[in-house]
Amino acid sequence: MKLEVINLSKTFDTKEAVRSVSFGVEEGEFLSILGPSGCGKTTLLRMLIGLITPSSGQVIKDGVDITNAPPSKRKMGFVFQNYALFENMTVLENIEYALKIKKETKDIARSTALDLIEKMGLTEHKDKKPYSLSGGQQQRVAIARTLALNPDVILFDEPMSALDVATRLALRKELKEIQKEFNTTMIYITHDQEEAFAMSDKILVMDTAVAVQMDTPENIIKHPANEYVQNFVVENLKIKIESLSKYINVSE
Amino acid sequence: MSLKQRMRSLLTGRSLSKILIGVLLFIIIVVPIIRMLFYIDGVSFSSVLGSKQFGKNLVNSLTSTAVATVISILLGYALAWAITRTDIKCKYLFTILITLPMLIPSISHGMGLIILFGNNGVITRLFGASNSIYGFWGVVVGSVLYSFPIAFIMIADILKYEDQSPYEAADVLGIPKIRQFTAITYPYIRKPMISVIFAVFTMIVTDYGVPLSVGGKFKTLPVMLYEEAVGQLHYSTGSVIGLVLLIPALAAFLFDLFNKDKGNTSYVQRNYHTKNKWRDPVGYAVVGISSLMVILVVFSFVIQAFAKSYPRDLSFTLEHFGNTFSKNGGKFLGNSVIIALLTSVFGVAVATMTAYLTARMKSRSSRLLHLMAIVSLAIPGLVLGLSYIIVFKKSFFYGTIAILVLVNTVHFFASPYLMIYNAFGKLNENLEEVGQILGISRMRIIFNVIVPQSKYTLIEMFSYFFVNCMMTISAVSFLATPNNKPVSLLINQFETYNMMECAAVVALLILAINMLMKGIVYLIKVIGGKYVDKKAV
Repeated sequence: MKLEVINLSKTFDTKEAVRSVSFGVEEGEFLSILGPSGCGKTTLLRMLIGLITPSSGQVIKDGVDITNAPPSKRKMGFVFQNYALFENMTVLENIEYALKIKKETKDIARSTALDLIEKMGLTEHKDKKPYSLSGGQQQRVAIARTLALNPDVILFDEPMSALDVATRLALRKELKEIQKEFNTTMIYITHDQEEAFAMSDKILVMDTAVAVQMDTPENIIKHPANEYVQNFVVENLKIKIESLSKYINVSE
Repeated sequence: MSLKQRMRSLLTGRSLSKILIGVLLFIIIVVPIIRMLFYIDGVSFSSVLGSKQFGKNLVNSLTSTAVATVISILLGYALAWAITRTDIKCKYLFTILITLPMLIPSISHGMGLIILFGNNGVITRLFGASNSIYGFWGVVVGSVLYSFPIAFIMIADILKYEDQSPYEAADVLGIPKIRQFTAITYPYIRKPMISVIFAVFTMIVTDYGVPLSVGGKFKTLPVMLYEEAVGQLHYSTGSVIGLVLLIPALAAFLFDLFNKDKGNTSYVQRNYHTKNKWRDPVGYAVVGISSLMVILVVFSFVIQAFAKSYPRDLSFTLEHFGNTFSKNGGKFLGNSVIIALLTSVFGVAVATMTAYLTARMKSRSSRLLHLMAIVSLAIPGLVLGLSYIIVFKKSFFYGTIAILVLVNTVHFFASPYLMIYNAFGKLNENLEEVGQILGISRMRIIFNVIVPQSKYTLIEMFSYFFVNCMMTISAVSFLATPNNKPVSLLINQFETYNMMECAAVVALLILAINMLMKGIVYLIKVIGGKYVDKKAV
């Protein structure tokens, strides 16, 4: 097991954001956490990286308890919804910055960054500032910045919700390719059922503060754990398919 | 959390820095005011408030301020309208001209009036009018000259952010113009306009420069405070008047606090733009007349400063400059520049640190720290100066440049603090978290990411502190000694000895240095490309 979460809970003041969530992710797996806005999925993800200290429970990575380890010591990456790029730096500087300031990686900073820039198709943009790039390009820079430190698990906090449909579809494919190439474990938060089903090896469905079901996409459709999963996941997908099936018949 | 854990977490970096800054602000802002209030005893309180002189001055203050505020707001509104709602050319140039009075001390506006309308005034002689400028109307006109640029800037800021789409919708629905004003315009501008009125009123009612120079026998409360406390060292009488002057400023502060510009944050769908044949000509007339007024005042300094002996001999001379410098003008000018530079550096540093703690390390204590940072808005310069002299009179601190730097920092702290607070708030909220994840320390994120992205705001703050330090005459008037005196205070001194030429020279010097500062800031922005690529800000 690459990453194991045991009875993780978080209470803010009196509000219970996450209640006793447990799950595990295998190495190289793509897991989506699917739930409506405000269900606690971002809090859960922030506990995995260490930006929020859990009220109780454990996070185990490669057999080691990292529940209270500082974020930078977890060998994990995190991609924010709003990209959070350093606007005063060029694309290249954004990606090499974290490597450059550390003694051990100083010498390889430039070459690593240039390599990633090429892989992410950003070569012609490498000397531009983030604000002159499109949303999709900015998110690629953010992903490259994360990859530069060579994490073995990357967490995504709704990274595509601000992008248009065409860019989303392209980025989805790229993410899967990155995952294969670097053999990274990915945990991906979304409220979009279709996105979760298109990308994931496994899906964890959340209701308010709790995990309801975790399984392969196929099994979730076939055996929804309860009425909530049936409504939030299965019925929603059906509506989408039905509304389009008038015009497009995929099976033919 | 157990008590022990609480204590330990208090001593970790983030809480500790908040406590330190909080204590610093408390000591330099709140403590002196409290000390001043404790200086008031029951006897002086009732005897001052009950005195005939106080009653008369209070009425003088209120009437002249009320009239000046109304004129200032109307003029400011007309100018703001002309700049934001018409297609007149050279808006940038006009804006510079209109805001020029903000670069010189209030007392010079009174002096300008005397030069123009006094016994030997330029205009008095031109039209043969009698000398009626001293007194009520002199104070009103001088106060307007000194305050209308502020009114203009604040109102322009309101109008700039008004959305035209509701008016378009109203036009489509056939709603008459007058109803559009009462239903759309009025609700939008009501609260921000009340803020502007409060601000302008407070600014005028607490100023002693204008009434001291053109008031003559018409005395106001700030003049009384100045004469009692600076002239005769009656600190307890001064404190009572100071307490009274705190009231309008405190009211303005509280009003703003509970009405945090809700009207200004709305999203502007379309900028306001209408056209009719009278619009631009009226716009030109409004900005033209106002600019002329400003030019006239500056011109009056120029003619006094450079003419051999106005009005008898108008030949060019630098004799008055030499004279000013021989009367220690050079030394005091040096003091002013040093005080202004030190205040700017110190003020920017403290304001930036404070704003970082309140805007980017939010917690319950941030709110309190924020309040402490902006409370100086509610303290008039005269009152601040009085409270400082009461606290520091007997200390080694008195008579040093440092005390003037400190009092100026407090006096002008709130506006630059708010500038950087807003700038920090607009930066991406996750930057420090990115640092945490990538193993980049908070300090590095601050110096390599956050500060570079806020550099134009920092420059603006520096310039704000600098310009205001150069021209201020309020708080510093209590604390200046022949050693650390800033040059702005010479204006009053020269006027007292009827050396108008030298007073004009000082006003011009301050104006020139402040324009130089503004020019440098403008150049930095142009070279840095701020005006080319706006997204980079």
